[in-house]
Amino acid sequence: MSGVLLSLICVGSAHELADADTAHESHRTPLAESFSLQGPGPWELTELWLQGGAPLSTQLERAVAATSGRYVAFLPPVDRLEPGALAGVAAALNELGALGALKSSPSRAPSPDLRSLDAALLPPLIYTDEQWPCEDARSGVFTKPHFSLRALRQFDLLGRTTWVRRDLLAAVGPLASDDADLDAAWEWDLHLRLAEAALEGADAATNSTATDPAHRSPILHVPILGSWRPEPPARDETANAAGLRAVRAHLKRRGVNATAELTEHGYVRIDPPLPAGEDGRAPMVSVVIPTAGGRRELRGENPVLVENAVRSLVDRTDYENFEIILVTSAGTDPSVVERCAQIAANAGGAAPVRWVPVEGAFNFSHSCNAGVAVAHGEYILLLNDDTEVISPGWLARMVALAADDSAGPVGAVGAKLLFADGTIQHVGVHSDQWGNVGHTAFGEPDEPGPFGQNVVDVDAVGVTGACLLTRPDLYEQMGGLSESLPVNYNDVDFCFKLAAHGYHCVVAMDAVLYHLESSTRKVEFTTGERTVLQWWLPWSRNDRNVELLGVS
Amino acid sequence: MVSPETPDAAWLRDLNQRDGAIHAELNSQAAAVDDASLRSRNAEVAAALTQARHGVAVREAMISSLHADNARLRNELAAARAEAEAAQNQVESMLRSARWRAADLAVGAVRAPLRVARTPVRVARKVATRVRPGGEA
Repeated sequence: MSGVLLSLICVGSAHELADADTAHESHRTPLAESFSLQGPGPWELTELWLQGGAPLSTQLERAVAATSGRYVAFLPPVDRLEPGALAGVAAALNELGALGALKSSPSRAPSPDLRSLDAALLPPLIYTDEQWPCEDARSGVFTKPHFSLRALRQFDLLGRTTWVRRDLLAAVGPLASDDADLDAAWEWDLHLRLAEAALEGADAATNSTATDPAHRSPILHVPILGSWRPEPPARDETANAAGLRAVRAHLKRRGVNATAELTEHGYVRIDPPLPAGEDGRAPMVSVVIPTAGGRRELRGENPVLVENAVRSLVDRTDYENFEIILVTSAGTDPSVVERCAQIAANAGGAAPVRWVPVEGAFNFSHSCNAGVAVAHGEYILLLNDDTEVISPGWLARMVALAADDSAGPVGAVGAKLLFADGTIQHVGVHSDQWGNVGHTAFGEPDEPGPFGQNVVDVDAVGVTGACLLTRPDLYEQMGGLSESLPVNYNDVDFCFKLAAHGYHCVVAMDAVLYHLESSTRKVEFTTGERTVLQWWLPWSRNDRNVELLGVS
Repeated sequence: MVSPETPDAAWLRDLNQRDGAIHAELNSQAAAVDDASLRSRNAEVAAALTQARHGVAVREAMISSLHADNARLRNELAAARAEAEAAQNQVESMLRSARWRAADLAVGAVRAPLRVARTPVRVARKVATRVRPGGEA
């Protein structure tokens, strides 16, 4: 058996070969030069200069057949491998125990004894981070999240350099068909087909492996800079259209009942349909709003927050089937409930208002649980009383995503929440490697953000309970919100319970509301609350959206 | 008029108990999950460290190569300087030699008549300049 682990195939055209001859003193391509700088190791480089005549797929397959590594990757001749990229990938595989007996020394790359490697531990796909020139140097470094099929459907998450296990590539083929072209999205199309095959082999229905207690994807992300490309990935009309075609083909192959369209930012938005409820209408949603009837200064006035929330709910939401359950804590003026009921009635009365008074010291978890206890809906939405609806389609979007398990079973859906000044209050919860949780992009402008992180639906480690949609059966199965956490982290704890059972927490970026809390609100955490976060560390440590060195 | 509702106390009690049971169940799995997540983290760190070491080695090799190039260029420069100095010394030696001085005297003897012959030409030019019509360059 060959001692080669990684086979890199340089795929270029005839004119790129000519360019290499004239532009470089060594007459070698940038890729070949950077490959030579990797030093000796279990890797090889093959060059494929495409020619007319044979179909492109045939030429690619022949090039693959001429290599011998366990993994294959394709790169154009103008890209460069980062120093140590190949050794880094080999080291990751070695650390995972996939390379069997490994000899290494400080001055040489790991030298695997591939005769004894454990094939079962070889991930089907491996991808690294990458970079390209950019005015803002930080913006050109793509530190990618760990794998999410949901993300891959919205943009080419895998990118370069992606290493494919040889048997998987043989099964899927480098191109979708014999007459397929190396268009602007051929890599994205390949990555989608590879991911489908990889996940099928590891329980596609749950996007996880039953043998992994942490429910991590079999597709491995090695967070090192693998390669550099001279231009950013193409985002012009042609490239975006090609990407959309690739995603639509993927959805069709998987039998996913959803449409795909391009967003204004050039990403692909997946639109699953709204499921039909028990009576043929959209499913009933029980909106549970704990409140103490408090007031806050807002746009020069001093409204009762829950009345403001209910007014925006009934006036601006285009969802047709929901009820409102107000859970009032001790000391709340009962007239607040009547006024909310009047507000809902004035809006057409389609959203009945119900009332659950709760006694005793304030306990947000208990209030939510009490509201869910009386809920009639097929979905539950926990909503803070200091929120205000912005996008009319917010609730429909959240319900549609909650009902779509094609990218993994969904346990909870959150929304994009903004402060009154339009900056971001919530686009998902993250957890760093020390177990500290926080809101991603907190306080930042509501812009797409690096690689669309604020506009692309995200599989997050958790979503805030200020706006959290779930199913009542799941809520009950998970034991609701933990009443031993009366104020903070009860939502995080609930989401961690879901994740520990293999469910995803998704942020629906097109569901936008204001969360009118103060951006400078100081949150006091108890020792017990901090202990809870440390308790969850084994699960929260590998937050897919957190870089190796911490939260960016 | 909205009537207050009372949640089912038994259901709430069951909910809390289920919450406790789930935490206990997960507690028993924590060690295995910790192990798996740490292995995953270790793999990431190993990859990053390996790349960093490799990068350092590449840069050290580049620096060594630059040092070698610099040394070669310094040697070439020194050789060129030595050559230039030798050439300078040779020229000076030639200039100091008796034969060179003799040749110089011979050249000076030839030039003197030529200087005398040029004088009428210079005078003639000055006269021609004075009589040129005004306005012409």
